[in-house]
Amino acid sequence: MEKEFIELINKHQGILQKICNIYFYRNLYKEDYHQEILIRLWKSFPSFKNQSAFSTWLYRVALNTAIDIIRKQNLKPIHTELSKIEYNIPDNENNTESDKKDKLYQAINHLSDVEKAIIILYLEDYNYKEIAEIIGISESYTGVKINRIKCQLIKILENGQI
Amino acid sequence: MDKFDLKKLWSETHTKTQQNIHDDVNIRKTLKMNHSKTIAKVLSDLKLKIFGYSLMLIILISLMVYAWVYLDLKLSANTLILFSFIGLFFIIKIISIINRLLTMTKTTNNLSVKESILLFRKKLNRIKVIDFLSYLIYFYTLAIWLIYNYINDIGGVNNLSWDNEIQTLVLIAIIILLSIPWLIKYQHNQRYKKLYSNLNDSANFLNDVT
Repeated sequence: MEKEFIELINKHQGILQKICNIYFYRNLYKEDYHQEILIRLWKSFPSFKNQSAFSTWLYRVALNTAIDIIRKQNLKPIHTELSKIEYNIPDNENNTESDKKDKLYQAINHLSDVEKAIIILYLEDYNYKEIAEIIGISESYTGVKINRIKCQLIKILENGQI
Repeated sequence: MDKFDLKKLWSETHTKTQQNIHDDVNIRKTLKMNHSKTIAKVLSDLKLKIFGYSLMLIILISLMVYAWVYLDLKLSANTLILFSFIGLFFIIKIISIINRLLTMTKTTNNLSVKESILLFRKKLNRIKVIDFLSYLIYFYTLAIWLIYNYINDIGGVNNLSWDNEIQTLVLIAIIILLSIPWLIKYQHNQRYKKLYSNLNDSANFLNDVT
């Protein structure tokens, strides 16, 4: 079982990195929390019964764990307030990939824990049905929420204001 | 709006992040752990507190048994009640910390995000109610016991007098005792204000009305 788990984790390490980046952005303990998520995934692995894709199951457990860590440590990811100028992504393509990434994560970091969970699933191309199942809301409501979060995120990226 | 195609931006910024940051050896090592260092530290702090209060409770009980059985001291009912109150305080503290530890260790990984939020809020509320009721019963009983003893000492209710300085001190002590549970409740609300606010916001946000 351990071998199978490690293989699956290796295949989906990107998901864990993205979740950690979203929830523990610029957090000193990011690596430590990554480890905690990995441990919880391993402990929950016996409950994975191939009823859904492994990545869907992984998202469910990892998102729950990340939110749980924040709640239990009673801490919020450290985010630095940026000026309007810093938020603006210039129209020319001088930005490096890491700059773009940094700005995107900074913007996402302004969302609430639940909004982050919804937006990461949306950005990762999950359909409304899957997102609704992981989050625990109806499909139609998922659409409403995604649109609202997208608008909020675009607004932040455009001018740094919610 | 079209300026920011979020999905495109997301995929563009994640094209080069697929390299594994943990190798098989590291993963295997991690899987053998119960918790990561930070979480383990929080849990061990709670366990240490439980150990500390349990130790004090054991010492208190041992002292009482030693005085009663070995030294054959005839302890008065009031002394016994006082020791019992101290012991009861340690028991309340131990229960309160165990409750927190259980909340910290029990996971809801396989539930949906909404269910897990609602469950956590319920657990946090339960801790608040149990803490408040325990302290309320404890300190109110202590206050009643103090009033009863004081009235006995002065020879009845008829002898109560505002000229007596000790009575003022007793009155202040009683007011303090009666207000402690409310102060603890207030402190809990202040301490977890942000957490409650986040939980309530999340629950409201996910409150499906369609």
